[in-house]
Amino acid sequence: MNHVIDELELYAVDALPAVDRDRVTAHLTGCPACHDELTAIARVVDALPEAVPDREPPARLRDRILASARAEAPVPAAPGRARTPWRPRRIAVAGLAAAAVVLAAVDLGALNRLQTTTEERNTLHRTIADVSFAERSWYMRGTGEYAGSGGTLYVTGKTGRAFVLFHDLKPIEPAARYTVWLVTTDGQRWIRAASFSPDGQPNQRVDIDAQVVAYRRCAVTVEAAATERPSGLVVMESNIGPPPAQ
Amino acid sequence: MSEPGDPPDDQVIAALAARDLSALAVLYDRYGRMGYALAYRILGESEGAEDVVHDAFLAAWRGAPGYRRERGNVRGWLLSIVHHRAVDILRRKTAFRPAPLEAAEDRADDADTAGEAVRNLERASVREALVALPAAQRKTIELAYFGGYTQVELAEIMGVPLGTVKGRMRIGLQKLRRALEPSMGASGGER
Repeated sequence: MNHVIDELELYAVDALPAVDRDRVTAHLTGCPACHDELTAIARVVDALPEAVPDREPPARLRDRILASARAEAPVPAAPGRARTPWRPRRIAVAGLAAAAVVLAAVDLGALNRLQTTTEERNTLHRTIADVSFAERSWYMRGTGEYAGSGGTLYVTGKTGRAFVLFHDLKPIEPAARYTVWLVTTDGQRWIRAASFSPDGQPNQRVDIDAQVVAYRRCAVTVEAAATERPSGLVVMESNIGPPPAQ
Repeated sequence: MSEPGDPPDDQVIAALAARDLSALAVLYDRYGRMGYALAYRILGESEGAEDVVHDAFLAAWRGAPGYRRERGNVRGWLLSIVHHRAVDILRRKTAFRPAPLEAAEDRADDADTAGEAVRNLERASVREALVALPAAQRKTIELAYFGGYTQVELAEIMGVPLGTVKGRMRIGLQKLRRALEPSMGASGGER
């Protein structure tokens, strides 16, 4: 076995090219000696942030993190019961069963409301599952009068499915549309990926039917009406694309 | 900072894995400040640092069930996520990176690294240990860890062979290890 001892320091500070990093990672899984050595090196590297001058994060950051996590959180477990890892099928079945029990005693209006609730819940569960499997994500912060809103573009590893999970979208004129654009690597072409109206909920999922990592940037504009060419104000954006070549 | 009687990190991670939002708040209160300081040090700007810390804590929120104690403590795990994401962003901004040596000199010598009052003895000991290293070893470590430069870039900008970069990194970290061993339990330890 060829050990990787002389590469572990650079591995620990993330300075190896991707191909070497992957090779070292593969070796470490089957070599306790190299793994132990890395653990010792990593303890030193982990101390390096102590050398960084103290800096106070913005007060809003804590709330922002908790709000994003809350948006991904599953339905809380009942008090007093042990919590178990979330499983989509179990919750979906439980939700449908609960709905069925309640349906026996409610009127038709309540039935419609329950169906809507079930659909929303299923959408939520699908989003949670997709976020759990997300391989990459980019946050787009609302700017100007759209500050406070934002959206995270997710790409799932297994399917390559992409979607944006928006939060706190500002109301816009009835005919206006939030429009998601993907910008080509040369910056010349803006491809419309989605167009929608805000639904008034704290979080809104918008699916993207494109291989987003083939593009350089994702931007969201507010357009006066549905359009194939961007002309409205860019209210949030982020650079995207593949990991950099090593 | 946590007080005596606060839950240890392992307990907080277990709660996080059970999707307990209050555990995420505890984790942020413990390490959010340091994570932000690290991201800011790497990126040099507040908006990017904020996004990195946001994404890192969300990654911890999602990844808590897969956390394994034997791979490192919670603090190290979280800060490594912050570091990896910040460096990833920095490398994508290659066109905007300042000239490496000038940037390294500016960052290494200005008040933000050497002159500012330290919060506690552990922080002071890490800084002192870094400053005590020969300049070439210290620069190699700082450029790689805080500057996000790969080994090939390091060799190029420092004008030395790849083997020299590896040697400086190895010897520098070994010296740091010896210097920090007495305090390692505190600075790199688990709550």
